[in-house]
Amino acid sequence: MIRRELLKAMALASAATAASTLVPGVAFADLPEETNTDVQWKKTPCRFCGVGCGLLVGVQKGRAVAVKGDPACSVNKGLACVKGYHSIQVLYGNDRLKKAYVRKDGVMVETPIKDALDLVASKMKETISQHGKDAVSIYGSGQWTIPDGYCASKLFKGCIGTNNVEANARLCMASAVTGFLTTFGKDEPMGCYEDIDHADVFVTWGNNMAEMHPVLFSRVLDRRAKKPGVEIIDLATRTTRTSHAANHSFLFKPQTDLAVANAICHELFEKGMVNEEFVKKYTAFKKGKTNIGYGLEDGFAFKDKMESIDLKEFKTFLADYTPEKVEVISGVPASDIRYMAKLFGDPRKKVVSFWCMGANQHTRGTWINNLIYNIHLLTGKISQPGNGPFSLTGQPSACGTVREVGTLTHKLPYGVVMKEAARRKAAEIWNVPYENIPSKPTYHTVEMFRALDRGDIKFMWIQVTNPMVTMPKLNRYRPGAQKDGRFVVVSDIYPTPTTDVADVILPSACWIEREGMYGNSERRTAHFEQMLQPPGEAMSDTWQLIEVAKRLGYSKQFPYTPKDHIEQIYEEYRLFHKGKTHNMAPYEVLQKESGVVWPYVDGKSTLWRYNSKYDPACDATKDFDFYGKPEGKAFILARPFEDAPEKPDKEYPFWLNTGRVIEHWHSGSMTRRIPTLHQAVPEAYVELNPVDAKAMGIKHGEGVKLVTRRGKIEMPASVGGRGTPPEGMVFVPFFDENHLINNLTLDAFCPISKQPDYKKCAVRVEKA
Amino acid sequence: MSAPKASPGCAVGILGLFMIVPFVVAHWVEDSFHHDPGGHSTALKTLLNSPLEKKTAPMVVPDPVEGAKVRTLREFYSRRAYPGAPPVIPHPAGREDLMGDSCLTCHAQGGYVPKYNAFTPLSPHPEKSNCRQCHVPQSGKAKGFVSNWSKVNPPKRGQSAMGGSPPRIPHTLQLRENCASCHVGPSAVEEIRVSHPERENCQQCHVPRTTQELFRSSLGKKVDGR
Repeated sequence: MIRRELLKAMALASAATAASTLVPGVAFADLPEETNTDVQWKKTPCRFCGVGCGLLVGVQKGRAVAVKGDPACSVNKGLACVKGYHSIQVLYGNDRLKKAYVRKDGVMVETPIKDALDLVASKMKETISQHGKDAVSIYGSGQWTIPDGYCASKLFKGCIGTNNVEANARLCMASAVTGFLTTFGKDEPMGCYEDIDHADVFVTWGNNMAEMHPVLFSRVLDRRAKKPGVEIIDLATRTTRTSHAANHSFLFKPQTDLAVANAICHELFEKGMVNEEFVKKYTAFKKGKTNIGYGLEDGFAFKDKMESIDLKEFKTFLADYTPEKVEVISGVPASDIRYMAKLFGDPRKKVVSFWCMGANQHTRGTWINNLIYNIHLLTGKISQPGNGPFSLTGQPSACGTVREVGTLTHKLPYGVVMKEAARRKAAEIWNVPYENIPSKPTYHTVEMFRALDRGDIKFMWIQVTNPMVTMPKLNRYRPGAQKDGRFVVVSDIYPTPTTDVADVILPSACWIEREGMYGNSERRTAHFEQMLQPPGEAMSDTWQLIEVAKRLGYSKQFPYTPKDHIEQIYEEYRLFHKGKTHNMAPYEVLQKESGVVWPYVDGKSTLWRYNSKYDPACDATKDFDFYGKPEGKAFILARPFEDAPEKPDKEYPFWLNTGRVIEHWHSGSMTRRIPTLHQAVPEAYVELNPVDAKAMGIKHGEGVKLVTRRGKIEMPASVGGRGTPPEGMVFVPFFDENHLINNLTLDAFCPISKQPDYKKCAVRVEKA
Repeated sequence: MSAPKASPGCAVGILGLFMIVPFVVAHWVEDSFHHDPGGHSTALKTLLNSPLEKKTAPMVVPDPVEGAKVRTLREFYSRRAYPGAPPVIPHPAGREDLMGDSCLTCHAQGGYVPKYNAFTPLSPHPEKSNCRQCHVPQSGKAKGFVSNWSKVNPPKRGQSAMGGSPPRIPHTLQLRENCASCHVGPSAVEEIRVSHPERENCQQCHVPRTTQELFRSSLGKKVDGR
C-alpha cells in the first residue's frame, strides 16, 4: 500500500513534467489531423487465407483507409494477421489493370472491355465449332467468390456442355477432398474452430500453422496459456516457427508421415488404447489398391477399388509398422511415436489434428488424410468439442467455391457428374437440357495444362489465379500455353507472369470492389457487400462470365440483374444444398452475420457433424452417424507407406521443399504490391541447413544455384533464417515471380486426388 | 529519483518491475475467445462496461533519462500503414525463426535501452506472443511495385464534446485496452502522454467513440445513430 502511494506520487511528479505540454483540446501544429473522422466500417471476410477471419474495413470518401479485426466474428474475435491488416493496400497498386488488353501482332493493345468480351465470346464459339466443346476450358481458383464459381460451372458444364472446369484448389486441397470422401463419404471437416478452445493436445501434421494460419495458431497459443498441460506437437519435415512454439517437434523424413501414422495406430492396438465400442459401432475396415503410381506420364489414369477387410486383417497390415521399424523408415524415434500414441490414446485428453499443404501436396495425399482419420476413429476422438481431425485450407473460398460449388471437372454444385441424379438436379436448376451435362470428367488441373500443351485444349480462360507461377514443372506448361493456336484469356487485377501469356486480359474488380461470398475451412460462408468502385473498366469475374454467357446466347440461363445478381445467383445456388446435411443460410442472414456455418438447419448452424447431439441430420437413436457411408460407418482404411517418385540420389542429392511465408500470399501478385509486406520479405531465398551450408562454403546471403532434372535457378542463401531444413533438404518459398522455383518442381501427383506434390523432388545445390 | 540502471540489451525499468502483466493477461485471455453471438466478444463488453482499473497496471512513471530520445507523433504514425495499423518493427529484429517470444522480453516490461538511447515502447497486448503475426521488420531492400496508397490523417486529439470537458478516446480499443502502455511513461509519445496518470480509471472520464468505432455498418446503413 505504502509503495503504491509512493509510486503514485512519483508518477505525478515525473509525468507532470513530461506531459506538461499536453493540453486537451489544443492540437499540435506540425501534424495534419483528421477533422472529418466519418469512417464507415463494413464487414468482410479477409481476402487471403482459408482461416476466413472477419475484418472490418474502414471506408472514407470512396477509399478503403483502415482495417480492424471484426470482434463479432467468432473465427478471429477481433484479431487479424499482418496480411489482413494490410489487405486493403492491395487495391491501390500503381499498376492495377483498369482496362482490357488484346494481343495484336504480339503486342498487348488497350481495348474497351466490351470489345474484349466480344472477342472472348467469338473465340469460344469459333473454337467449339472447329474443335468441339472439350477444346474450351476455364481454370479458376479458391479465391473465386461463390457466385464466380457458380457462374463458371453453369456456363461451361450446363450451357456449353463440357466438364473442362478446374480450379487451383486442385493444387491445394484436392487430397483433403478425396480423403474426406473415401473415409466419410462427405467432404469438409466435421468440427469447427471452437474445437481449439476445448482441446488438450494439438498435433500439426506437416503444417507451419504459426505462419500459414496465424490467427488460429494464436488461438491455440491462447488455449495453451489458459489451461495447464495443453501441448502442441509439431510433426514436420523442417524446423519452423511452429516447431519452436510447440512443446515437441518431431522431424520425419519426407513422405514417411504415412509410416508414422500407421505406427501410431499400431501402438494404439498394442497398448489397448483403441476405443473398441466406437470402432465396432461406427466404423468399417477397408483396403484400397496399392502401388498406385505417380501420374508422371500424360493421360495417366487410376481408379481405386475398396474392399472390406476385418479387424484381424487390419492388424496384420499394421504389423509392418511397429514403432521400431518405423523409426528406421522415418527417423522419428520409437519413443516419440509411442509418446504421440499415448496422447491420442489417453481417454482423458481431447486431441485436435491440424494439417494443410504438407499432407495434401503429397503423392499419397489421399492416404495420409485417411491415416490421420484412422487415428481419430480408432480412438473415437472425432465430432466432439475439442476432439477432431481438422483439415485446414489455404484459400479464402477453397471450400466455399471449389468444394461446395464444385468447380472441378468431376463435380457439380451438388454431387458428381458421373451420377445421373446429380446431373438431372443441376439441369433442372440451371434450366438446361439434361443431355447437356456430360457424364464423364475430362481433365484435372495438371492434365488440363498438359492438354493445352498438346493442343487438345485450344482455349483457356483463367480467373483469379496465377498458374504461370504456381503450376509445377513450369518449364513445360509455360511454353505450352504460348504455342500457336492456343488462346488464353486472363482475368486479373495486376499484370503477372500469367497475363504475360494471355491473348486477352480482362481487368477484374478486386474483393470489396464488388459483392460476393467466401467459404472458409470450418464450413463458414461469409458475405461482403460492394464497398468501393472498381477502377477504370474493371469488372467482377461474375459479371465478366455473365457478359460472355449472354454473348454466347445463354441470356435465358443468366437473367441476373446488375443490382441484385449476387443475391439472385446465391439463392439459386442454395437450391442445390437444401436438406439437413448441407443447407446454406439464406442471403439475408449472411448479410447480417459475420459468416454462418453450414449445415444451417432451422435457423441454426450445425457445429459438429455426425454427432447426434449437434447434428440434426444424424439418426437420433445413435450417438454418432457417419451418414455419408453405408450403415453410418466411417471407413478405417489400410493405406501403406509408399515412397516418393523422385528421391535424392548421387546426381541430385538434396530434397527440394517449397512453400510460403506469413507475409506473402501464393504467387505474391497481391502481397508484393502491399508495401509493408513487400519490404518485410522482398525476395525469395533458399533455406539451407547450417551444416550443409558450411560444407559447401555458402554463407547467408550468398548466391546458390539449384538444379533439378527440369530446370535451374540462382537465388540468395538463407542460413539460420526463418526456417531450418534438416541436412539434405533445401526449402524455397514460391511467392517471387523473379525466382520461379516451379520451373524446377515435379508434376507428380496423388493418383486419387490428382494433386501435385510441391514438397518433394531431388535437387543439386551448388555455390553460385 | 534516479534513472533505471542500464544493462546490456534491454534494461528493465522501474515500470517493468511493477507492471502487473500477469494480471492483465489473465483477464484478457480468459475472455478473449468466448463467443457472444449477439455481437462483440465478451472481452470487449467487459472492457467497455467495467472500470479499467482491473485491467491495467498501476501507472508508474520512471524518471526520463536525461537526453533519451522520445518518439514524436510523426514517427509514431510513420511506422503504421494507417492510424491503428500494427506498427512495423523499426529495429533489427533478432531471431527470425521465432514468432517473437523474445520481443516481449523488452516490450512487455519497458525500460531504458542504452543501445537506442530510448525507452522501449510497451505492448498494449503482451498476452499475445505470436508478435510477428502482425509486426514485421522492413528490409528497405524491396524493389519494384509502386503503391498509390494514401494514408488518412490520424484522428484529431482533444475532441471534447463541450469546451473543457475530458476529450473522448479517438481510436478503437481493440488490442489497445491498456491505456497506460501508450499514454504513460517515458516511452510514450510526448504529444499523447497523459497529464494525470495517477487517475487510473481512464474511462471514468474519457469515453471511447465506441458507437462508430465498434459497431459495424449493417446492410449498408450505419447503426450507430450518429
